[in-house]
Amino acid sequence: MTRHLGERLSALIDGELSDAQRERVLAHLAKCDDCRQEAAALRLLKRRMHSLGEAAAADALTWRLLALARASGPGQPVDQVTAARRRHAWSLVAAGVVTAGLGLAAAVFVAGGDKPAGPRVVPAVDVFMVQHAITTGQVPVQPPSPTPVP
Amino acid sequence: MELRSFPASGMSPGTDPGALRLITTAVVVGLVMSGVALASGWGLVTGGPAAQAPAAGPPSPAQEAGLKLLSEAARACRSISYQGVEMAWWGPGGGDTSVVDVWHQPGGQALTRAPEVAGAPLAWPDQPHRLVPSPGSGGLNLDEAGVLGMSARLVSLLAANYVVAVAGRGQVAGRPARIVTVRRRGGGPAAWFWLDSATSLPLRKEMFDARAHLISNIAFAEVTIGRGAMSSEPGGAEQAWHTTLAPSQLARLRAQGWPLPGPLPGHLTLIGAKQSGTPTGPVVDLDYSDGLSVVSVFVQRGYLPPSLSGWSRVALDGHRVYANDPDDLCFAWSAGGFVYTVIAAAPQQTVGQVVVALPHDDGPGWLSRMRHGLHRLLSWILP
Repeated sequence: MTRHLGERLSALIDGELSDAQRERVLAHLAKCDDCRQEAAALRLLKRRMHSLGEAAAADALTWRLLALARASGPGQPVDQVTAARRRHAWSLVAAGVVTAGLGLAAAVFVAGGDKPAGPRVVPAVDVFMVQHAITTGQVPVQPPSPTPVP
Repeated sequence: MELRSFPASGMSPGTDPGALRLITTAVVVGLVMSGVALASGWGLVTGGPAAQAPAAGPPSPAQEAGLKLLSEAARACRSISYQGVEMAWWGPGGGDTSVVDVWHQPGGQALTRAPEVAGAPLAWPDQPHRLVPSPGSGGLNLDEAGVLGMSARLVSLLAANYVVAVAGRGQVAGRPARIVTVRRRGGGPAAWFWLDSATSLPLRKEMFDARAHLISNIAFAEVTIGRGAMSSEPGGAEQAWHTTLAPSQLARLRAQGWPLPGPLPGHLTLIGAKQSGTPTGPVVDLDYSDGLSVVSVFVQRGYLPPSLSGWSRVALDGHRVYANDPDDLCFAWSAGGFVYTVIAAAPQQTVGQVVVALPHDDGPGWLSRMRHGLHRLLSWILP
Protein backbone atom coordinates (compact mmCIF):
# COMPACT_ATOMS: atom_id res chain seq x y z
CA MET A 1 0.00 0.00 0.00
CA THR A 2 1.34 3.40 -1.07
CA ARG A 3 1.76 5.99 1.71
CA HIS A 4 0.90 9.57 0.68
CA LEU A 5 2.56 12.72 1.92
CA GLY A 6 -0.22 14.08 4.16
CA GLU A 7 0.92 17.00 6.32
CA ARG A 8 4.35 17.03 4.70
CA LEU A 9 2.68 18.57 1.62
CA SER A 10 1.69 21.63 3.67
CA ALA A 11 5.21 21.85 5.06
CA LEU A 12 6.58 21.64 1.53
CA ILE A 13 4.37 24.46 0.30
CA ASP A 14 5.20 26.58 3.30
CA GLY A 15 8.94 25.97 2.81
CA GLU A 16 9.39 24.39 6.18
CA LEU A 17 11.22 21.21 5.09
CA SER A 18 14.91 20.57 5.19
CA ASP A 19 16.77 19.82 1.98
CA ALA A 20 16.80 16.08 2.55
CA GLN A 21 13.10 16.03 3.44
CA ARG A 22 12.21 18.19 0.38
CA GLU A 23 14.19 15.72 -1.89
CA ARG A 24 12.30 12.76 -0.56
CA VAL A 25 8.91 14.61 -0.89
CA LEU A 26 9.62 15.73 -4.43
CA ALA A 27 10.68 12.14 -5.33
CA HIS A 28 7.31 10.95 -4.07
CA LEU A 29 5.41 13.61 -6.01
CA ALA A 30 7.12 12.52 -9.19
CA LYS A 31 5.44 9.17 -9.04
CA CYS A 32 2.16 9.91 -7.12
CA ASP A 33 -0.63 11.64 -9.01
CA ASP A 34 -2.85 12.03 -5.95
CA CYS A 35 -0.23 13.89 -3.99
CA ARG A 36 0.59 16.10 -6.98
CA GLN A 37 -3.09 17.09 -7.28
CA GLU A 38 -3.31 17.74 -3.56
CA ALA A 39 -0.13 19.84 -3.63
CA ALA A 40 -1.52 21.88 -6.53
CA ALA A 41 -4.77 22.46 -4.66
CA LEU A 42 -2.89 23.58 -1.55
CA ARG A 43 -0.75 26.03 -3.53
CA LEU A 44 -3.87 27.49 -5.15
CA LEU A 45 -5.54 27.88 -1.82
CA LYS A 46 -2.49 29.55 -0.34
CA ARG A 47 -2.32 32.00 -3.24
CA ARG A 48 -5.97 32.91 -2.81
CA MET A 49 -5.56 33.37 0.90
CA HIS A 50 -2.57 35.56 0.30
CA SER A 51 -4.43 37.65 -2.24
CA LEU A 52 -7.30 38.19 0.24
CA GLY A 53 -4.86 39.35 2.90
CA GLU A 54 -3.51 42.04 0.67
CA ALA A 55 -6.96 43.47 -0.30
CA ALA A 56 -7.17 47.27 0.41
CA ALA A 57 -10.24 49.07 1.80
CA ALA A 58 -12.21 51.35 -0.51
CA ASP A 59 -10.96 54.97 -0.63
CA ALA A 60 -14.23 56.49 0.66
CA LEU A 61 -14.23 54.22 3.66
CA THR A 62 -10.62 55.02 4.33
CA TRP A 63 -11.20 58.77 4.30
CA ARG A 64 -14.22 58.52 6.58
CA LEU A 65 -12.26 56.55 9.10
CA LEU A 66 -9.39 59.03 8.94
CA ALA A 67 -11.80 61.97 9.44
CA LEU A 68 -13.30 60.30 12.50
CA ALA A 69 -9.85 59.75 13.89
CA ARG A 70 -8.91 63.42 13.41
CA ALA A 71 -12.15 64.66 15.00
CA SER A 72 -11.69 62.65 18.16
CA GLY A 73 -8.14 63.79 18.54
CA PRO A 74 -5.07 61.81 18.65
CA GLY A 75 -4.98 59.13 21.22
CA GLN A 76 -8.06 60.06 23.45
CA PRO A 77 -11.36 59.15 21.78
CA VAL A 78 -12.29 56.59 24.40
CA ASP A 79 -11.64 58.97 27.35
CA GLN A 80 -13.69 61.76 25.86
CA VAL A 81 -16.69 59.55 25.20
CA THR A 82 -16.56 58.38 28.80
CA ALA A 83 -16.35 61.96 30.09
CA ALA A 84 -19.33 63.02 28.01
CA ARG A 85 -21.33 60.12 29.34
CA ARG A 86 -20.39 61.09 32.90
CA ARG A 87 -21.43 64.70 32.35
CA HIS A 88 -24.76 63.59 30.97
CA ALA A 89 -25.33 61.38 34.01
CA TRP A 90 -24.50 64.24 36.41
CA SER A 91 -26.85 66.55 34.56
CA LEU A 92 -29.64 64.05 34.99
CA VAL A 93 -28.88 63.69 38.69
CA ALA A 94 -28.79 67.49 39.18
CA ALA A 95 -32.06 67.95 37.32
CA GLY A 96 -33.66 65.28 39.47
CA VAL A 97 -32.42 66.88 42.67
CA VAL A 98 -33.63 70.35 41.61
CA THR A 99 -37.04 69.00 40.60
CA ALA A 100 -37.40 67.16 43.88
CA GLY A 101 -36.36 70.29 45.80
CA LEU A 102 -38.85 72.49 43.99
CA GLY A 103 -41.58 69.95 44.56
CA LEU A 104 -40.79 69.77 48.26
CA ALA A 105 -40.71 73.57 48.54
CA ALA A 106 -44.05 73.82 46.78
CA ALA A 107 -45.53 71.22 49.11
CA VAL A 108 -44.22 73.07 52.17
CA PHE A 109 -45.55 76.39 50.83
CA VAL A 110 -48.99 74.96 50.14
CA ALA A 111 -49.09 73.24 53.52
CA GLY A 112 -48.16 76.52 55.19
CA GLY A 113 -51.26 78.27 53.86
CA ASP A 114 -54.34 78.57 56.05
CA LYS A 115 -57.81 77.74 54.89
CA PRO A 116 -60.18 80.65 55.50
CA ALA A 117 -61.96 80.19 58.78
CA GLY A 118 -65.69 80.47 59.32
CA PRO A 119 -68.56 80.66 56.86
CA ARG A 120 -68.44 82.28 53.46
CA VAL A 121 -70.12 85.66 53.92
CA VAL A 122 -71.59 88.21 51.55
CA PRO A 123 -72.16 91.38 53.61
CA ALA A 124 -75.77 92.54 53.75
CA VAL A 125 -74.79 96.06 52.73
CA ASP A 126 -78.39 97.14 52.24
CA VAL A 127 -79.14 96.29 55.85
CA PHE A 128 -75.89 97.83 57.05
CA MET A 129 -76.61 101.02 55.13
CA VAL A 130 -79.98 101.34 56.81
CA GLN A 131 -78.40 100.90 60.23
CA HIS A 132 -75.74 103.45 59.37
CA ALA A 133 -78.41 105.96 58.33
CA ILE A 134 -80.44 105.27 61.46
CA THR A 135 -77.40 105.73 63.63
CA THR A 136 -76.06 108.85 62.00
CA GLY A 137 -79.30 110.59 61.16
CA GLN A 138 -77.76 111.35 57.81
CA VAL A 139 -79.19 109.94 54.63
CA PRO A 140 -76.41 108.49 52.52
CA VAL A 141 -76.82 107.23 49.02
CA GLN A 142 -77.29 103.58 48.27
CA PRO A 143 -74.20 101.64 47.16
CA PRO A 144 -74.54 98.62 44.90
CA SER A 145 -75.23 95.48 46.88
CA PRO A 146 -72.45 92.95 46.46
CA THR A 147 -73.26 89.59 44.97
CA PRO A 148 -70.74 86.80 44.69
CA VAL A 149 -69.49 86.00 41.24
CA PRO A 150 -70.25 82.36 40.43
CA MET B 1 -25.86 113.43 88.00
CA GLU B 2 -24.70 110.67 90.30
CA LEU B 3 -25.60 107.11 89.47
CA ARG B 4 -25.98 104.73 92.36
CA SER B 5 -26.46 101.00 92.33
CA PHE B 6 -28.49 99.05 94.87
CA PRO B 7 -28.23 95.45 95.99
CA ALA B 8 -30.38 93.16 93.93
CA SER B 9 -31.47 91.17 96.96
CA GLY B 10 -33.89 93.85 98.07
CA MET B 11 -33.99 96.66 100.58
CA SER B 12 -30.84 97.10 102.49
CA PRO B 13 -30.91 97.73 106.23
CA GLY B 14 -31.23 101.37 107.02
CA THR B 15 -33.33 102.33 103.92
CA ASP B 16 -35.20 105.59 104.47
CA PRO B 17 -38.95 104.84 104.96
CA GLY B 18 -39.84 108.14 103.27
CA ALA B 19 -37.90 107.20 100.20
CA LEU B 20 -39.54 103.77 100.22
CA ARG B 21 -43.01 105.33 100.30
CA LEU B 22 -42.02 107.65 97.47
CA ILE B 23 -40.75 104.77 95.35
CA THR B 24 -43.82 102.68 96.11
CA THR B 25 -46.11 105.55 95.18
CA ALA B 26 -44.22 106.13 91.94
CA VAL B 27 -44.46 102.44 91.04
CA VAL B 28 -48.20 102.32 91.78
CA VAL B 29 -48.84 105.49 89.81
CA GLY B 30 -46.76 104.14 86.95
CA LEU B 31 -48.67 100.86 86.94
CA VAL B 32 -52.00 102.65 86.99
CA MET B 33 -50.95 104.94 84.16
CA SER B 34 -49.67 101.96 82.16
CA GLY B 35 -52.97 100.18 82.74
CA VAL B 36 -54.95 103.18 81.58
CA ALA B 37 -52.75 103.54 78.53
CA LEU B 38 -53.12 99.86 77.71
CA ALA B 39 -56.86 99.99 78.25
CA SER B 40 -57.10 102.98 75.95
CA GLY B 41 -54.95 101.27 73.36
CA TRP B 42 -57.12 98.17 73.44
CA GLY B 43 -60.26 100.17 73.28
CA LEU B 44 -61.43 99.22 76.76
CA VAL B 45 -62.00 102.84 77.61
CA THR B 46 -64.48 104.27 75.21
CA GLY B 47 -65.77 107.05 77.34
CA GLY B 48 -65.53 110.60 76.21
CA PRO B 49 -63.51 112.35 73.61
CA ALA B 50 -61.02 113.58 76.16
CA ALA B 51 -59.03 110.39 75.77
CA GLN B 52 -57.90 111.36 72.32
CA ALA B 53 -58.98 114.93 71.85
CA PRO B 54 -56.31 117.17 70.44
CA ALA B 55 -54.84 119.60 72.87
CA ALA B 56 -56.94 122.74 72.96
CA GLY B 57 -56.92 125.82 75.12
CA PRO B 58 -59.95 127.35 76.82
CA PRO B 59 -62.82 127.99 74.38
CA SER B 60 -62.92 131.41 72.84
CA PRO B 61 -66.11 133.53 72.99
CA ALA B 62 -66.75 132.70 69.33
CA GLN B 63 -66.32 128.98 70.09
CA GLU B 64 -68.65 129.24 73.06
CA ALA B 65 -71.27 131.05 70.98
CA GLY B 66 -71.08 128.49 68.21
CA LEU B 67 -71.25 125.56 70.62
CA LYS B 68 -74.20 127.16 72.39
CA LEU B 69 -76.08 127.34 69.12
CA LEU B 70 -75.20 123.77 68.21
CA SER B 71 -76.31 122.54 71.64
CA GLU B 72 -79.62 124.34 71.17
CA ALA B 73 -79.89 122.67 67.76
CA ALA B 74 -79.37 119.24 69.32
CA ARG B 75 -82.13 119.95 71.83
CA ALA B 76 -84.41 121.28 69.11
CA CYS B 77 -83.98 118.05 67.16
CA ARG B 78 -85.64 116.19 70.04
CA SER B 79 -88.08 118.74 71.40
CA ILE B 80 -89.97 120.21 68.46
CA SER B 81 -92.13 118.74 65.74
CA TYR B 82 -91.28 119.21 62.11
CA GLN B 83 -91.94 117.69 58.74
CA GLY B 84 -90.18 118.24 55.47
CA VAL B 85 -88.34 116.97 52.45
CA GLU B 86 -84.63 116.44 52.86
CA MET B 87 -82.09 116.15 50.08
CA ALA B 88 -78.67 114.59 50.45
CA TRP B 89 -75.88 115.10 47.96
CA TRP B 90 -72.55 113.34 48.15
CA GLY B 91 -70.06 114.67 45.70
CA PRO B 92 -66.86 112.63 45.76
CA GLY B 93 -68.01 110.16 43.14
CA GLY B 94 -69.78 112.54 40.80
CA GLY B 95 -72.78 113.73 42.74
CA ASP B 96 -75.34 111.20 43.93
CA THR B 97 -78.52 112.63 45.38
CA SER B 98 -81.21 111.02 47.45
CA VAL B 99 -84.50 112.53 48.60
CA VAL B 100 -86.49 111.54 51.69
CA ASP B 101 -89.51 112.77 53.56
CA VAL B 102 -88.80 113.49 57.24
CA TRP B 103 -91.13 113.57 60.27
CA HIS B 104 -90.47 114.18 63.92
CA GLN B 105 -92.60 114.46 67.06
CA PRO B 106 -91.35 115.94 70.35
CA GLY B 107 -89.56 113.36 72.44
CA GLY B 108 -89.65 110.78 69.68
CA GLN B 109 -87.31 109.69 66.98
CA ALA B 110 -87.13 111.24 63.55
CA LEU B 111 -88.65 109.15 60.76
CA THR B 112 -87.60 109.18 57.16
CA ARG B 113 -89.13 107.57 54.09
CA ALA B 114 -88.49 107.72 50.38
CA PRO B 115 -91.10 109.97 48.72
CA GLU B 116 -94.04 108.15 47.20
CA VAL B 117 -93.96 110.30 44.12
CA ALA B 118 -91.48 108.90 41.63
CA GLY B 119 -88.93 111.09 39.97
CA ALA B 120 -87.00 114.04 41.26
CA PRO B 121 -89.24 116.94 42.13
CA LEU B 122 -86.28 118.79 43.54
CA ALA B 123 -82.77 119.24 42.31
CA TRP B 124 -79.63 121.02 43.35
CA PRO B 125 -79.38 124.05 41.12
CA ASP B 126 -75.61 124.37 41.21
CA GLN B 127 -74.28 120.83 41.57
CA PRO B 128 -74.19 117.95 39.09
CA HIS B 129 -75.98 114.93 40.45
CA ARG B 130 -77.92 111.81 39.65
CA LEU B 131 -80.87 110.68 41.70
CA VAL B 132 -80.41 107.39 43.49
CA PRO B 133 -82.76 105.54 45.82
CA SER B 134 -82.30 106.17 49.50
CA PRO B 135 -81.94 103.24 51.86
CA GLY B 136 -84.91 101.97 53.73
CA SER B 137 -87.68 102.83 51.31
CA GLY B 138 -90.14 101.55 53.91
CA GLY B 139 -88.99 104.22 56.32
CA LEU B 140 -86.25 104.63 58.91
CA ASN B 141 -86.62 105.33 62.58
CA LEU B 142 -83.57 107.43 63.26
CA ASP B 143 -81.54 106.64 66.33
CA GLU B 144 -80.35 109.03 69.00
CA ALA B 145 -78.83 111.27 66.38
CA GLY B 146 -81.48 113.58 65.06
CA VAL B 147 -81.84 115.06 61.65
CA LEU B 148 -78.56 116.00 59.98
CA GLY B 149 -76.72 113.91 62.55
CA MET B 150 -77.16 116.40 65.38
CA SER B 151 -77.08 115.12 68.96
CA ALA B 152 -75.68 116.25 72.28
CA ARG B 153 -73.05 113.53 72.16
CA LEU B 154 -71.83 114.54 68.74
CA VAL B 155 -71.78 118.21 69.70
CA SER B 156 -69.50 117.38 72.64
CA LEU B 157 -67.18 115.46 70.34
CA LEU B 158 -67.28 118.28 67.85
CA ALA B 159 -66.28 120.75 70.55
CA ALA B 160 -63.32 118.56 71.43
CA ASN B 161 -62.02 118.13 67.91
CA TYR B 162 -62.92 121.26 65.96
CA VAL B 163 -63.08 125.04 66.19
CA VAL B 164 -66.65 126.33 66.09
CA ALA B 165 -67.86 129.87 65.40
CA VAL B 166 -70.97 131.77 64.39
CA ALA B 167 -70.42 133.10 60.89
CA GLY B 168 -73.53 135.01 59.92
CA ARG B 169 -77.02 134.56 58.60
CA GLY B 170 -78.58 132.84 55.63
CA GLN B 171 -81.80 131.25 54.44
CA VAL B 172 -82.86 127.63 53.88
CA ALA B 173 -86.21 126.48 52.46
CA GLY B 174 -87.51 130.00 52.85
CA ARG B 175 -86.62 130.21 56.54
CA PRO B 176 -84.01 132.58 58.00
CA ALA B 177 -81.07 130.75 59.51
CA ARG B 178 -77.89 131.37 61.44
CA ILE B 179 -74.69 129.90 60.06
CA VAL B 180 -72.21 128.11 62.30
CA THR B 181 -68.81 127.23 60.86
CA VAL B 182 -66.75 124.26 61.97
CA ARG B 183 -63.06 124.44 61.19
CA ARG B 184 -60.24 121.96 61.64
CA ARG B 185 -57.67 122.80 64.25
CA GLY B 186 -55.23 122.97 61.35
CA GLY B 187 -57.27 125.78 59.85
CA GLY B 188 -59.35 124.47 56.94
CA PRO B 189 -63.15 124.39 56.88
CA ALA B 190 -64.74 121.11 57.97
CA ALA B 191 -68.48 121.91 57.91
CA TRP B 192 -71.11 124.62 57.85
CA PHE B 193 -74.42 124.37 59.66
CA TRP B 194 -77.53 126.42 58.93
CA LEU B 195 -79.72 126.56 62.05
CA ASP B 196 -83.27 127.85 61.97
CA SER B 197 -83.24 131.33 63.50
CA ALA B 198 -86.50 130.80 65.35
CA THR B 199 -86.05 127.27 66.71
CA SER B 200 -82.34 126.37 66.12
CA LEU B 201 -83.44 123.28 64.20
CA PRO B 202 -80.66 122.25 61.78
CA LEU B 203 -81.79 123.00 58.25
CA ARG B 204 -78.66 122.43 56.23
CA LYS B 205 -75.22 120.91 56.64
CA GLU B 206 -72.24 121.05 54.30
CA MET B 207 -69.10 119.02 54.83
CA PHE B 208 -65.65 119.60 53.38
CA ASP B 209 -62.63 117.35 53.08
CA ALA B 210 -59.13 118.23 54.22
CA ARG B 211 -58.55 120.13 50.97
CA ALA B 212 -61.65 122.27 51.57
CA HIS B 213 -63.56 120.54 48.76
CA LEU B 214 -67.29 120.20 49.32
CA ILE B 215 -68.07 116.51 49.81
CA SER B 216 -71.66 116.53 51.04
CA ASN B 217 -74.64 118.82 51.21
CA ILE B 218 -77.70 117.76 53.19
CA ALA B 219 -80.56 120.21 53.48
CA PHE B 220 -84.28 120.64 53.84
CA ALA B 221 -85.81 121.57 50.52
CA GLU B 222 -89.17 122.00 52.25
CA VAL B 223 -89.88 122.14 55.96
CA THR B 224 -92.82 122.84 58.27
CA ILE B 225 -92.03 123.44 61.95
CA GLY B 226 -94.40 123.39 64.92
CA ARG B 227 -98.05 122.47 65.21
CA GLY B 228 -99.60 120.97 62.13
CA ALA B 229 -96.31 119.62 60.96
CA MET B 230 -97.31 115.98 61.38
CA SER B 231 -99.22 114.35 58.55
CA SER B 232 -98.85 111.04 56.74
CA GLU B 233 -96.31 109.80 59.23
CA PRO B 234 -95.01 106.43 58.04
CA GLY B 235 -95.74 103.33 60.04
CA GLY B 236 -93.59 100.24 60.40
CA ALA B 237 -90.37 102.10 59.83
CA GLU B 238 -87.15 100.14 60.23
CA GLN B 239 -85.60 100.35 63.67
CA ALA B 240 -82.06 100.28 64.93
CA TRP B 241 -80.84 96.91 66.11
CA HIS B 242 -82.14 96.40 69.60
CA THR B 243 -79.16 94.63 71.11
CA THR B 244 -76.95 97.43 72.34
CA LEU B 245 -73.56 96.24 73.52
CA ALA B 246 -72.31 97.63 76.81
CA PRO B 247 -68.54 98.07 77.37
CA SER B 248 -68.47 94.88 79.44
CA GLN B 249 -70.11 92.94 76.61
CA LEU B 250 -67.63 94.39 74.16
CA ALA B 251 -64.80 93.31 76.43
CA ARG B 252 -66.26 89.80 76.58
CA LEU B 253 -66.45 89.62 72.80
CA ARG B 254 -62.87 90.85 72.53
CA ALA B 255 -61.83 88.11 74.92
CA GLN B 256 -63.49 85.64 72.56
CA GLY B 257 -61.30 86.88 69.74
CA TRP B 258 -63.57 89.46 68.15
CA PRO B 259 -61.48 92.32 66.73
CA LEU B 260 -63.51 95.27 68.00
CA PRO B 261 -61.25 98.33 68.15
CA GLY B 262 -61.78 101.24 70.50
CA PRO B 263 -60.77 104.61 69.11
CA LEU B 264 -59.74 104.85 65.47
CA PRO B 265 -57.44 107.27 63.63
CA GLY B 266 -58.83 110.70 62.83
CA HIS B 267 -60.00 111.31 66.44
CA LEU B 268 -62.84 108.86 65.90
CA THR B 269 -64.37 107.78 69.19
CA LEU B 270 -66.54 104.71 69.60
CA ILE B 271 -69.99 106.17 70.20
CA GLY B 272 -72.11 103.05 70.02
CA ALA B 273 -72.11 99.29 69.49
CA LYS B 274 -75.00 97.04 68.49
CA GLN B 275 -75.40 93.43 67.56
CA SER B 276 -77.75 91.54 65.30
CA GLY B 277 -78.10 88.09 63.84
CA THR B 278 -77.60 86.92 60.28
CA PRO B 279 -77.94 83.48 58.67
CA THR B 280 -74.17 83.07 58.94
CA GLY B 281 -73.91 84.27 62.54
CA PRO B 282 -73.93 87.45 64.59
CA VAL B 283 -72.76 90.78 63.25
CA VAL B 284 -71.51 93.63 65.41
CA ASP B 285 -72.05 97.25 64.38
CA LEU B 286 -69.51 99.69 65.79
CA ASP B 287 -70.15 103.39 65.23
CA TYR B 288 -67.37 105.96 65.46
CA SER B 289 -67.45 109.73 65.23
CA ASP B 290 -65.32 112.82 65.73
CA GLY B 291 -68.47 114.88 66.12
CA LEU B 292 -68.81 115.52 62.42
CA SER B 293 -67.92 112.39 60.47
CA VAL B 294 -69.57 109.09 61.30
CA VAL B 295 -68.03 105.75 60.37
CA SER B 296 -69.83 102.44 60.92
CA VAL B 297 -67.77 99.25 61.07
CA PHE B 298 -69.67 95.96 60.75
CA VAL B 299 -67.78 92.87 61.90
CA GLN B 300 -68.91 89.27 61.43
CA ARG B 301 -67.20 85.88 61.40
CA GLY B 302 -66.30 84.34 58.05
CA TYR B 303 -64.56 85.24 54.84
CA LEU B 304 -65.55 86.94 51.61
CA PRO B 305 -65.91 85.09 48.32
CA PRO B 306 -63.02 85.61 45.93
CA SER B 307 -64.94 88.20 43.93
CA LEU B 308 -68.08 90.29 44.35
CA SER B 309 -70.05 91.43 41.34
CA GLY B 310 -70.64 95.15 41.15
CA TRP B 311 -67.72 95.98 43.39
CA SER B 312 -64.16 96.66 42.47
CA ARG B 313 -60.98 95.65 44.20
CA VAL B 314 -58.78 98.54 45.20
CA ALA B 315 -55.57 98.89 47.17
CA LEU B 316 -55.49 101.17 50.20
CA ASP B 317 -52.00 101.65 51.53
CA GLY B 318 -51.10 98.21 50.22
CA HIS B 319 -54.24 96.50 51.54
CA ARG B 320 -56.59 95.00 48.96
CA VAL B 321 -60.27 95.62 49.70
CA TYR B 322 -63.58 95.76 47.87
CA ALA B 323 -64.93 99.25 47.19
CA ASN B 324 -68.22 100.41 45.82
CA ASP B 325 -67.67 102.80 42.99
CA PRO B 326 -67.71 105.68 42.63
CA ASP B 327 -67.96 107.19 46.09
CA ASP B 328 -65.51 105.03 47.99
CA LEU B 329 -67.54 105.43 51.14
CA CYS B 330 -68.16 101.72 51.58
CA PHE B 331 -65.47 99.08 51.79
CA ALA B 332 -65.47 95.37 52.59
CA TRP B 333 -62.74 92.80 53.13
CA SER B 334 -62.00 89.76 55.26
CA ALA B 335 -59.06 89.07 57.52
CA GLY B 336 -58.27 86.63 60.28
CA GLY B 337 -61.58 84.82 60.01
CA PHE B 338 -63.70 88.01 60.15
CA VAL B 339 -65.44 90.07 57.48
CA TYR B 340 -65.28 93.86 57.83
CA THR B 341 -67.71 96.25 56.16
CA VAL B 342 -67.06 99.96 56.57
CA ILE B 343 -69.76 102.49 55.70
CA ALA B 344 -68.90 106.13 56.20
CA ALA B 345 -70.31 109.60 56.10
CA ALA B 346 -66.87 111.14 56.17
CA PRO B 347 -64.11 112.50 53.97
CA GLN B 348 -62.35 109.85 51.94
CA GLN B 349 -59.13 110.52 53.78
CA THR B 350 -60.78 109.66 57.09
CA VAL B 351 -62.34 106.53 55.64
CA GLY B 352 -58.98 105.47 54.24
CA GLN B 353 -57.35 105.90 57.65
CA VAL B 354 -60.02 103.75 59.24
CA VAL B 355 -59.74 101.00 56.65
CA VAL B 356 -55.97 100.89 56.96
CA ALA B 357 -56.12 100.82 60.77
CA LEU B 358 -58.36 97.74 60.88
CA PRO B 359 -56.91 94.20 60.60
CA HIS B 360 -55.92 92.86 57.20
CA ASP B 361 -54.61 89.56 55.89
CA ASP B 362 -51.66 90.61 53.85
CA GLY B 363 -49.84 87.35 54.32
CA PRO B 364 -47.42 86.54 57.10
CA GLY B 365 -44.54 86.52 54.63
CA TRP B 366 -43.21 83.59 52.67
CA LEU B 367 -40.65 82.70 55.32
CA SER B 368 -43.28 82.34 58.04
CA ARG B 369 -45.49 80.41 55.68
CA MET B 370 -42.65 78.04 54.78
CA ARG B 371 -41.86 77.53 58.46
CA HIS B 372 -45.51 76.85 59.20
CA GLY B 373 -45.74 74.44 56.28
CA LEU B 374 -42.61 72.59 57.34
CA HIS B 375 -43.97 72.16 60.84
CA ARG B 376 -47.26 70.91 59.45
CA LEU B 377 -45.61 68.42 57.08
CA LEU B 378 -43.36 67.12 59.83
CA SER B 379 -46.36 66.72 62.11
CA TRP B 380 -48.00 64.62 59.43
CA ILE B 381 -44.90 62.46 58.98
CA LEU B 382 -44.06 62.22 62.70
CA PRO B 383 -47.39 62.52 64.48
